[in-house]
Amino acid sequence: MNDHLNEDLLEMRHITKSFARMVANDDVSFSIKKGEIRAILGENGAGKSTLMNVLYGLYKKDAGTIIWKGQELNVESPAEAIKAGIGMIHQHFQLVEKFTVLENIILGLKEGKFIELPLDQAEKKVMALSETYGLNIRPKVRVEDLTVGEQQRVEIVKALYRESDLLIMDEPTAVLTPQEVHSLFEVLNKLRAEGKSIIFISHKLPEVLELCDSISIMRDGRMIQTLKNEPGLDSRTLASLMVGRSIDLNITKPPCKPGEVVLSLQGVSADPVAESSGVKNVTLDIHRGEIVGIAGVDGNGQTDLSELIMGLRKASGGRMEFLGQDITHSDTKQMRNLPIGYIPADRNHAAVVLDFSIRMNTALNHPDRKPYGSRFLMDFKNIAQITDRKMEEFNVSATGSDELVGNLSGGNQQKVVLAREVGEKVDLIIAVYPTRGLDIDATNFVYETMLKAREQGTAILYISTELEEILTLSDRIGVLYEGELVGILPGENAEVEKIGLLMAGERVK
Amino acid sequence: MIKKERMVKKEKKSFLMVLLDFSPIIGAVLGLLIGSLFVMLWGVSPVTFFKELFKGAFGSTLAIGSTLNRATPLLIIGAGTAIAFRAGANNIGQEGQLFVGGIAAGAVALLMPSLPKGLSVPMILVVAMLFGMVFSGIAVLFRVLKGVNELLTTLLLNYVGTLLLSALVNGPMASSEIVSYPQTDTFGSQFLLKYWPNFGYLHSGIFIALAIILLTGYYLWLTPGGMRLRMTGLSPLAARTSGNNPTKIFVWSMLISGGLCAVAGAVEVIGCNDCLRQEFGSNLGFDGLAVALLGNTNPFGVLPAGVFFGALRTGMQAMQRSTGIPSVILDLIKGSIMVFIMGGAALKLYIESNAKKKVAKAGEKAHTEAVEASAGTGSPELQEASQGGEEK
Repeated sequence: MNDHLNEDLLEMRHITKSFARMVANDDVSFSIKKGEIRAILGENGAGKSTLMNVLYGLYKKDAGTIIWKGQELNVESPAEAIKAGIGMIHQHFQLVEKFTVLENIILGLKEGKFIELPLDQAEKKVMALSETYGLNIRPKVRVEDLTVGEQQRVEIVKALYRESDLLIMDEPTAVLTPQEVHSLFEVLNKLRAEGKSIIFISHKLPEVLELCDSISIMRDGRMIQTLKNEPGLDSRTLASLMVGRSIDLNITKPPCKPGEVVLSLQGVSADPVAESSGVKNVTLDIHRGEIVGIAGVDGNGQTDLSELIMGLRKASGGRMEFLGQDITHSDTKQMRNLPIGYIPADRNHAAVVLDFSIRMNTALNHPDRKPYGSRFLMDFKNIAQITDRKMEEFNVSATGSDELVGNLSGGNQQKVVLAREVGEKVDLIIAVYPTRGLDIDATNFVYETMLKAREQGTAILYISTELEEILTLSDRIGVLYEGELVGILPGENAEVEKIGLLMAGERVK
Repeated sequence: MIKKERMVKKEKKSFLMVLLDFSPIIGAVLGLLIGSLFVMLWGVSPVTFFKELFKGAFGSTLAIGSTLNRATPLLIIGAGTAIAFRAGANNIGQEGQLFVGGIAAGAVALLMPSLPKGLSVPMILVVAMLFGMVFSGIAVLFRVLKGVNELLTTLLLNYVGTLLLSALVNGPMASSEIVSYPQTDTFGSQFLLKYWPNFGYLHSGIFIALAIILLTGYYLWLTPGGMRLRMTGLSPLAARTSGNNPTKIFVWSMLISGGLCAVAGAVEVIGCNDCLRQEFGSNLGFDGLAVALLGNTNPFGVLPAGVFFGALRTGMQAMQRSTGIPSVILDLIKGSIMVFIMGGAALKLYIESNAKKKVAKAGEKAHTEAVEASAGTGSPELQEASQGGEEK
């Protein structure tokens, strides 16, 4: 390595970045050569984005040095990074929809006079770039009329126009169709041939193996290993490095005694909406006293599946049964009345009303039913009593049950949701990302609540992107990939590598 | 593992935020102060201004009656508007809906002149309600089918309502006698509300207004339906997730709101007039909207706000007689009050969104922290095992 040190385009040495008490990047070193495509692999929260944001000037590093083209570089803002020749293409494109491609490309550049934009000149340059790299840019078209793939190419041209030597691409294939992925790879290969360097952030193993020269793996804020992409390197090795091992959360879990089937999904599907992947032909039975964990990378149909079951989305095929009763086309109200405990992914907007008190949030689902009230009058005295009792039981910290939920911490908000959804015995719990944004105590409280419900014979569908908690809690583990249930494995001594492969889109027999 | 201690911390509200909670009241006071400074141009001292204003509005039974007379339609519109606003439906078509209600009163009185006494007034109220619902229903259709913002459609429907009334009283509904002003024939006496000339021509419509205030207030704050309506206004997604249909709630709140504003128009016509006149209650709709905001879109807040606006109008008219100050100063005061209330609301939103951004950032940190921390609690053996695995 040392022989080639002078060839390094970029070297990041011992980068450390922490937020409050948490270390997001712990002594991370990283380097990339001219004309290299480097993958950074890692799970959600492994520290990939933090590292890139430090490089791009969005975060200020606590320690470490960045060497760029042989000289020390201190970037304070993205503008300085761009000036130095570092371009970043975010997952969500930074384009003005109502502007044309050309206008978007020169937006923010201080060229030409105040009124007179150097459009002709710019167009020539853009077309030249488009030609060189096979980007197929249509400069006069408005961005809103472009496909996602084309928009991404506009972002690439934008970076090239600013004479970037290094492109950071944050999960560029997440929003693309397979065909678009193919043409993106062609473009990236051409860029590499022209001597540009690319940092390719991803957690899709097949793509990384297809495209990249070398692969750096991050986990828990640390750089674990950098591997050359040589023949013989397989997904299995990468997956095990990326996922690590299951973590013992000091939670004792009595053996699973599955009872009758509570929820039965028989080949159900839901059409994709917007950027979600929909649900494709999912078959799954969940029994009493069993936690079925659903693992998967974010955006692979997790919310779609939960919303489909809860009647928030229409089923486009298949059949769903709840204790033998057909619920395929039940609406949310009917599902609520079964009752089902539902912990939605979007706590702030879907699970609670921030401007309502804890009491009103406790009565949220059934204000017209006993014990919360009747059709024409809510029983405020009863609601207050029940809320006080539940707050005691679920250890909610607040000045009182009349405090607005918006004033509570995330953990306490989630406890209010738990108290409402699973405070009474239910037959089925559907929990989506229930520990998201919670501190360690609140997270443990969620686990305990789930295990307690499991003991009482509740069937639990536990959806999470944190593999550790799936491994800790689940009796069986299903993996969602692009809306498909690509595998169901036993939770006992789960094969972590296999789960990692499935999550990354590898087919495993 | 979970400690049984409850950390109770009351976050202290800043003085400014406490003040902003009272922005309607502060706005009203500041608006009056501006008015009192303005009248100095006529050589009237602020003290005289306040004294005369109060005397004109509450100085005698006549004045009090007159104040309540002016407050009556505002109370009904204010309550109706509160229903829409609480559901997150931006109905600002009060003026048009008011006129449509007036048309309903005229239609019933003129087309069914033989209606018996016990049925006449209820019939007018019911038909006005229906007319108002149909009228605001136009905006609802645009919104539900085409996604057109109801703010725009209801605003434009105000012109439709105004011109519709104008066309009718100048055409098909015009009086058979020759009169100097566009109006209909006089209604049968059984269609008119009882009124008390000695009490500032206050009419029995005030009881209808109070009943509506009570009903809407009860509905919004004490019933499950009202809670769901408010929930929809605050968070449509939460409403949907907990098993409600936000679209249905939006539709009904808009319809009821339009219906009540129309009832206000009908009550004004049969309480203060004996026939339907062109522009019988000009600006009442907009004043009603202002009353709803001044009353914090709460029917029980609308009650004092409506009386306050009624008092302003009566007081200013009295002042014009006694001091010669033109009563259009009234609009200046009303306008200032609205600017202060809106300004207060905007400032509050700004402060809150800033605070929320901070909370959201802290939340993200806490999350990553939790993940990191949980990763660190693994037993040494496991950690070692995983380290070993990496070396391979």
